[in-house]
Amino acid sequence: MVKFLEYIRLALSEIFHNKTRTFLTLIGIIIGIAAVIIIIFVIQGAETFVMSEIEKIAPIDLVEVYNRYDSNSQRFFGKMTFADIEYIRDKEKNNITAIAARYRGEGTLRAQGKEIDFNLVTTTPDFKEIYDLEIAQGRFLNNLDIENLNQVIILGFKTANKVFGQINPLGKKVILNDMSFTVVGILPKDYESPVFPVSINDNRGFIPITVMERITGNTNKFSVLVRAKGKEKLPYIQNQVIKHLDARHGLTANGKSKFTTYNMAKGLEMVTIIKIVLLLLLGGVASITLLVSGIGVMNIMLVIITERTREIGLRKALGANKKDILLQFIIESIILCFFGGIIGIIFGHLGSDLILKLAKNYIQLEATVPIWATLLALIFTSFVGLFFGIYPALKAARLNPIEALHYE
Amino acid sequence: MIKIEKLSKIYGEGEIAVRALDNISFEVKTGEFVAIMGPSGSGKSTLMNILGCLDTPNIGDYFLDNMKVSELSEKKLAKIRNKKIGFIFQTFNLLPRLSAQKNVEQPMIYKGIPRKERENKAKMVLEEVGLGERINHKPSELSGGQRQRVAIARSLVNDPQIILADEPSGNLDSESEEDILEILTNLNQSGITVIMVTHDKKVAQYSERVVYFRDGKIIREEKVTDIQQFGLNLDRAGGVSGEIS
Repeated sequence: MVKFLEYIRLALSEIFHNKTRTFLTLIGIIIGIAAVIIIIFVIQGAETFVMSEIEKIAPIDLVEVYNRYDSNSQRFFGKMTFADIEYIRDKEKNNITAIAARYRGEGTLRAQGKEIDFNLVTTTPDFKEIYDLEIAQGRFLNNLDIENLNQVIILGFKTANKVFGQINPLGKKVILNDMSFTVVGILPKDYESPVFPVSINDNRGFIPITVMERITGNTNKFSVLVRAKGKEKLPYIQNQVIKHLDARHGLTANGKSKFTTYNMAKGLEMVTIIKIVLLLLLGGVASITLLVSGIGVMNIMLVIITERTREIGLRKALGANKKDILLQFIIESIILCFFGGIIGIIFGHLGSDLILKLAKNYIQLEATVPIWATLLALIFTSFVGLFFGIYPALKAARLNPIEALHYE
Repeated sequence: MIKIEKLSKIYGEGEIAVRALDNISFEVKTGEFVAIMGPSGSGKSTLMNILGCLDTPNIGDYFLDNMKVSELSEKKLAKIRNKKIGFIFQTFNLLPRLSAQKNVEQPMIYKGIPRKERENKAKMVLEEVGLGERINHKPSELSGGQRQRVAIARSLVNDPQIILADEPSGNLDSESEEDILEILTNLNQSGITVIMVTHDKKVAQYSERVVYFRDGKIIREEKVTDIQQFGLNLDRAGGVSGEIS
């Protein structure tokens, strides 16, 4: 340990003594590591960005179940019912956080003498949990609304504001397709759920699905949204839901399910694959760069050892054995490369910051260089130093002390 | 302490073989001060290398403290060089990047002495050789005599039993030469065995016994008498008074 620390000190003094040579030797490693850090940063940042964009559309632990449409008979193979929802909710209560029915519609909303076109979501109370909705005033739909066919509506903030202005909309009536609904809830202002399209506040409202079914007669045309407890359970839930539905509804004539599912994870798989491919490519390029710079380091270490032949001879005369000399020069090589790694990491971080600043002019993005990339860079450069330092250090250790002492 | 029996060192093979040392027998007692003289190529450097455990003989035996050196492992030899032997070279062989103190610390690193202890010992020994105020100077900032004193301090830090000095004053002016030889004499009087190679008869007079080498063989040995040593002292005194007048 005493020796170890001393070798590190010696190595540092050597490295700093010959700054120009150190820098020139390390330029390959510096550029290589900086490039690796920046590329990892960009890949991670791009992934974070794509993920967050996808999550804005739908939570990634969400699966949507649809009735399959038979284009020959122009009818649905099967239709899910509320009983199906309750059945699945009961069977999978340990694996799902929410399950809701949803049917989208459009209409005209009239109130306070104003009339606006309107996007309607007809759904069940669980919808709130499906999309992590927040309610600013009042409440969301509840089970009583569904059972009693309460004609209640929850409005987006902008819609409420457009129609009611300064008046508190809670408890006020609106006319939707000639039916009267009471406003019971308002979404928050500037509401941007992390999982919802940005336009949620614009001309949007929610009513009980049962009310819609009664008014329009569009029964059992809804799709079912199931949110798994964590995205790792998603594939399982997806299978289970189809299994339960198949058990209750049977299969089609050619033995296929009458229902189909869609989830965002399918989109994410692609992102992951692209990420892995990019990382592999990066790994290849990084390896070649570091191999080349490693050979450069080996070359310089051989030069250093030739230059310091007398020192090696002297050290042997003073009592250094082979192992001491070997260790001294391997440590010097490792420290040299480690030092290059640190400079590379600094440049990598600076470059990443710059890219982030530029990117922020165009997109909303929060990203940092992952710590594992920094650690990996340090470990990798140290390894390069070790690997390419062994041969020169062995050469040094094997020098004959007498010849080395008299080397001119 | 040192005993060499029918020792030969041969470089090369067959017809081009060179007998650097040819069947020599030789003994040095503990506390002796021996000078080795001879023309270049006479084998004195080879002998020093073997005595310093930097090299091993082809034939014959070398006993150091009753240990048969030719049978020791390389690692064990390094240990002996570290602990028992102090080297002093004609060209000083200081590490140019390190301060005097750091240079002196080097042998202690291989002995595994912790930093604080190392620093204290190095300062102490540098003080002893009269360089207490120059411990932080690099070799390039020191005169030749001062550099050699750093080298002597370095050879002493691990408390060796033997000092091997290869033309220790060969690169020095006469004033520094005297300083260095006086230090060696003092070390010898403190009980350290000193073996010194020189080609200068005057320098050899500082020793107790001179061994003459030629063509790898010992051709002559002679004791340095007290009168000779005394005469040397007179010479020096005269030199000084001469300068005054």
